[in-house]
Order: sequence, then C-alpha cells, then structure tokens
Amino acid sequence: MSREHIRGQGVPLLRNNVDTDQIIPARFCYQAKRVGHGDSLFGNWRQDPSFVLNDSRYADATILVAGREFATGSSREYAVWAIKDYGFKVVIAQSFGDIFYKNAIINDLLPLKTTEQGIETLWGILARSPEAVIDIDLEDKTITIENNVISAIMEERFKRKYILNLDDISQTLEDIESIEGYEKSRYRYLATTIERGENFTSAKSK
Amino acid sequence: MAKTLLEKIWNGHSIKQLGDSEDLIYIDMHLLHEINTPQAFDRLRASNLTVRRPDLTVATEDHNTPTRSIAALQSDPLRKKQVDLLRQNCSEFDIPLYQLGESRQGITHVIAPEQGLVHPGTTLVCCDSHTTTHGALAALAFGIGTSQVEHVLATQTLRLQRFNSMRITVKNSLRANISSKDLALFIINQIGTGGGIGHVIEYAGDTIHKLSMEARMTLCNMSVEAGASAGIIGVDDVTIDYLRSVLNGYSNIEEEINRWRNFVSDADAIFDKEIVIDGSEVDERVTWGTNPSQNISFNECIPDLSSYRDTSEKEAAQCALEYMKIKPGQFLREIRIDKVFVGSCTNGRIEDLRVVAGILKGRAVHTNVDMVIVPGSIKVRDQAIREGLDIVFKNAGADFRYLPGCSMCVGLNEDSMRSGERSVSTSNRNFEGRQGTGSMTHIASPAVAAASAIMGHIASPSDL
Ligand code: SF4
Repeated sequence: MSREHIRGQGVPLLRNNVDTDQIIPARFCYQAKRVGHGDSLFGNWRQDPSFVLNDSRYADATILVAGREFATGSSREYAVWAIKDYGFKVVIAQSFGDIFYKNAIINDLLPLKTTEQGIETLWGILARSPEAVIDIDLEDKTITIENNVISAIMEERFKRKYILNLDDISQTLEDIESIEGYEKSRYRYLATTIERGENFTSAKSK
Repeated sequence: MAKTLLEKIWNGHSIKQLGDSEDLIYIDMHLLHEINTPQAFDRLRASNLTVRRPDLTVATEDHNTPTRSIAALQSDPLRKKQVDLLRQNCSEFDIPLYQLGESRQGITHVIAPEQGLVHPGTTLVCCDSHTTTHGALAALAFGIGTSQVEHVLATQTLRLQRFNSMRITVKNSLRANISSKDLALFIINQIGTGGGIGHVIEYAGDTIHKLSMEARMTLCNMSVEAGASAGIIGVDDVTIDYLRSVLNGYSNIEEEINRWRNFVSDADAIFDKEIVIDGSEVDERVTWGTNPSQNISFNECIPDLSSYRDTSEKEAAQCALEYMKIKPGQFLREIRIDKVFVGSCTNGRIEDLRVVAGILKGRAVHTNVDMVIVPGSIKVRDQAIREGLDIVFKNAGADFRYLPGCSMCVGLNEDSMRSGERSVSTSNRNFEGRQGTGSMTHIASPAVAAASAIMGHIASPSDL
C-alpha cells in the first residue's frame, strides 16, 4: 500500500482533552529507548477492565480515533512512541497539541484532523461496529467508513512531509554552509555556557 | 513595516526559507535535563554526528531527583540510570552539566534566567513544554520533542513553521494581593486549554509591565496550559533591571541595553488575534477539575453540568468531577486537603517563597496537612536561607527541602502522592494522576497554597 492510502480498523477513544500525562504517565517514561513503550500506553486507564483498549473486539485496530485537543500537555515524545509501539499507525482527532503533532510526523505516526462532526460519525460507527474498516486517502484528504466520506484536514506541507518521510536532520545538514554563514555574522555578545574570554556573559559570576 | 516582537526575533534568526512556509531557525540556547534526552544522544551516536555547539547548550538534573539528600539518588536504580545517562552524554559531548546539589543546579526554567543565559531577542528551546517561561525576558522560548532535541544538538537549528501571533492585553490593574498565577488561571479559564494552539501569546498592557520579572515568568510559564506555543513579554525597565542584576559584572551591559530596548512590538504591529482582559475582574482562582481551565474563584461554586453548553466540555467536566470526588454546588472552602506543595518552575522562585513565608509567619500548618516546600534552584534555596525563610517554614511545621527539583509537580521522585490524597499545589498541571496515580491536585497561587496549609481546606489568605 502506498503511504497515501491507509486502511485499518479503529478504536473510539470517547474523550476530549486527553493530555500526554494520560497517554503515558510520567512514571512510565524511564526507559532510555524509543521502542518498548506499547504496554505503557494509557498506563493508568488500562488498569480499568472496561477501558476501550482492553476490549478484545478492538484488538486489531491500527487507527485511534480521539476527540478534541488530543495530546496537549508535556513535550514527551514517549506519547508518540507508546501509541506507535502499541500498533497504531494513525491518530484521528479534532485537534492536537502542537508539540505532539510535530513529534508524530517526525516519527511517522499520521496525525489526521477532522471536524467535530467527523469525529462523532467515526465514534458512532466504531462503537456499534468495531469491525468497520476506515479508509484513509491522503491524496483526496478523505476518511471513508461505511459509505460515509468524511473530510480529513492536513496542511499540504505536513502531508508532503509525512508522505515523503524525509529525515529532517540530513536535510538540514545539506544547508550547513548557510548555518556557518549565519554563525559568522551572529551577534557576538550572546550568552554562552562555556567560558570563552572576557565577554562571556553567563553563569561564571557567582 | 511595523513588526511584532515575534516577527523581529523570527526574522533575526531565520537562516533560510525552506519552502512550505518553513524556515530554518537558529537556536541561541538549548537546555537539557535527564528525561526525554537519552534517545536523542543515542541517535546522534548512531548517525555519527556530534553536538554542534556545546557552548550554547547546558544540562541540569531536575525532574526525578531527590529533594532530601543527594545520596537518596542511589536508592532507585531506574532514576539513577536516567541521571547517569545524562552525565555520560554530557561528558562525552562536552556539554556543561549542573549536577544535583551543585551551586548552579535547579529546575531548567528557574536556573537559565537567574544565570543570565536568557537574553531579550534570542531563541531558546528545551525538551520541556514549560520552556515558555523564558518568554518573560522577551526571548522566543518553546518546548520541543526528543527528535527536535537531536536536531538542535546536531545543527543548532530547527525547521519551523512561523507561529501565529496573539496579543492578550490586560487593561485595568489587578486588585491588591492578586498574583500573576491568578491572572494566568483566569486567562486559561477564559480562552480554554486550546485557546492558544498554534500561537505565541504576547502579554501587553500597563498591568503586565507593572509585574515583577518573576511574576512574568509565572504567566509565561502557564501559556502552554492555554495550548500556546510560547508566551512573551516585551522589554521594559523591569526586564533591564533584572538583567543588570543577573549579569552583574558583565562589561558590555550599557551597549546591550540599547539593543535590548528594541525587543518590543512596534506600536502599530498587527497580531493575528487580539484578546483584551479586564484585570480588575481577576480574583484568586483555584482549579477544581483535571485541566487547568477548570478553575473558579472563592465566590463561585463547582459548576453544575447543566451550565455547560458545549457537550465535550460537559463530558470533560463530568469526568473531572468523578475523578476529583467533588460535587457541583460545593465551594472551594469545603474541600479538605492532605498536602500542600509549594515549588515547581511556575512558583518555585524566591518571590514565591517570600509570599508563603509572609503568610506562615507566626502561624502553624494544620495538623492534617503535610506541607512541602521545594526551592526551584540552589540559588533560590540559599537566598531563602539568607533571609531566614527556612526558619519561618520550620517553625510553622512545613517541610522545606534542601535540594531543588521538580519534585511533587510531576511525582517522579519519592515525593509523589498516594492514591486518594488531595493537594493544593503551586505547580501548573492538575491532570489525572499528575502528582501520583489516583492523587487529586488543585492548582493555586503560593498565597492560596499557604493559607490552605494553615486552614486544612482550600482557603484564601483573607480567611486567616
Ligand atoms: S517543575 Fe513541573 S512543569 Fe516545571 S519542568 Fe519540572 S516537571 Fe515540568
């Protein structure tokens, strides 16, 4: 399947304002790796047997359908890692926390926005038919489920970034001469953290 | 053309336009701590890259560190490992590191300004969402994820899309004894936790310029709780005086001051969004729910679900009521508490400790309450001791900790709360389980926290 087309079953996470502390509570963020956090996803809520991720009918889902303001709060990239590790490839929500949104694209987790009505439709269908398949077409920016076509919202630049899956650092390093040029003309007297001559302005005093 | 402060900083740091409305932005200062960073260093090593500017990078230990004794770090192998990884990474890549207990150590957002690392008109990032704090010094400062940390380490730049600008003008003075924490909670209550998404909020108006530097840091710190990418305040005399004191002995200061004065929005600059707040309407506010916008004043009662028109806010309120074990119609003063936490990057500075000491002086913490006061940095601690605040705390029965750190704000060290315990906390987040699984948090100002500690329930200093 191309990166523009994604199909899968979905889980309805019937809540708004799910912050990153809920996605992965801070005490689970101790492993110094990017993988192996799937078990910590929604670590506190998972202890409740009725929590939707504990519902076996949704065991094969690869698309998480959340509400409004998903993943606001802390900058922890663990939130993205945990969602991916658990097996999700896409999160659909009405809106996302800024930092999470960027983290998701960098980590190849597709954050897709839609309208409040779109979320309601998805939630409604997924709640009654867990086996329903969601079809995402990034080219047309549509989400299709049981003959309902919902429009997806994603800025072109983020869409391109996701589809091309480019590595930011290698791209930036191609511009290393511009960075060096900037550094040469950069204002001299800005703070540094390592002492370098008398105009060093930082912590050396006291 | 007239420019906003945001535009001035942005234009001064844009190395190149990358297309797709993205710019390559130079980063002047990069702060690190022990959480969220080891993965970035691992990737650097794996890609055979190095740290481009260790001299523009500094690390500290704050999130999971103990507050009673340095030795206690040894007692928890997982936490120790995180700290050790930071130490190894900093030593391998020549990054200055302030280790637990050293004179410059403390919470990242407390130490950077107090050490003069934050200058007006600069860009600053950290793997922590409350990096917005530093906007108080007219810097563009925001939190980043681990992959971006790696990007900054390797290139000293970030690929960023221009932020939108929002100006919040506070007209009319704040009433006596109303703090910038109350103002921050009021603003978040008005615009919601998503009100600032995609925007840098510039706080403007006479009321803002009357605030002390520390009060401004509290306000900018909380910007992220309104969803904003950053908070920022233009340079004025208060900014200059603060920088003069922290850069004491720095030879170039007079020249700098003229340059710094430039870092304000031009009079006729146009913002993408404008909000006006009436400062005289702000009263002491405390959160009752599980996000920072769910807050009320002492005159209001916990809202009834029927008062919500927005269904999703209504659902959020319902979940919050259940989690917080409170009922609509209750007043703040009816809520009994077990713990009071004073500290964090929001309110762990010397001014905050002075306010708390002023209220505790000659009084005693309620017998049912544990009050923990954690200084934001070693410098704050030492200053508190010089002023005798530690004695005031001790005499009142509060537990003033010796080592600075995030402590109960995030519950990653031994100070985390037990399930069912309820706190008034000067920190910034009241998310479910934030201070420990099953614990309940009410966010408030240092003055309200101190009064509550004495009364045993949520209380205003005017109740004493
Ligand atoms: S004090 Fe709390 S909010 Fe601030 S940096 Fe530490 S954990 Fe984050």
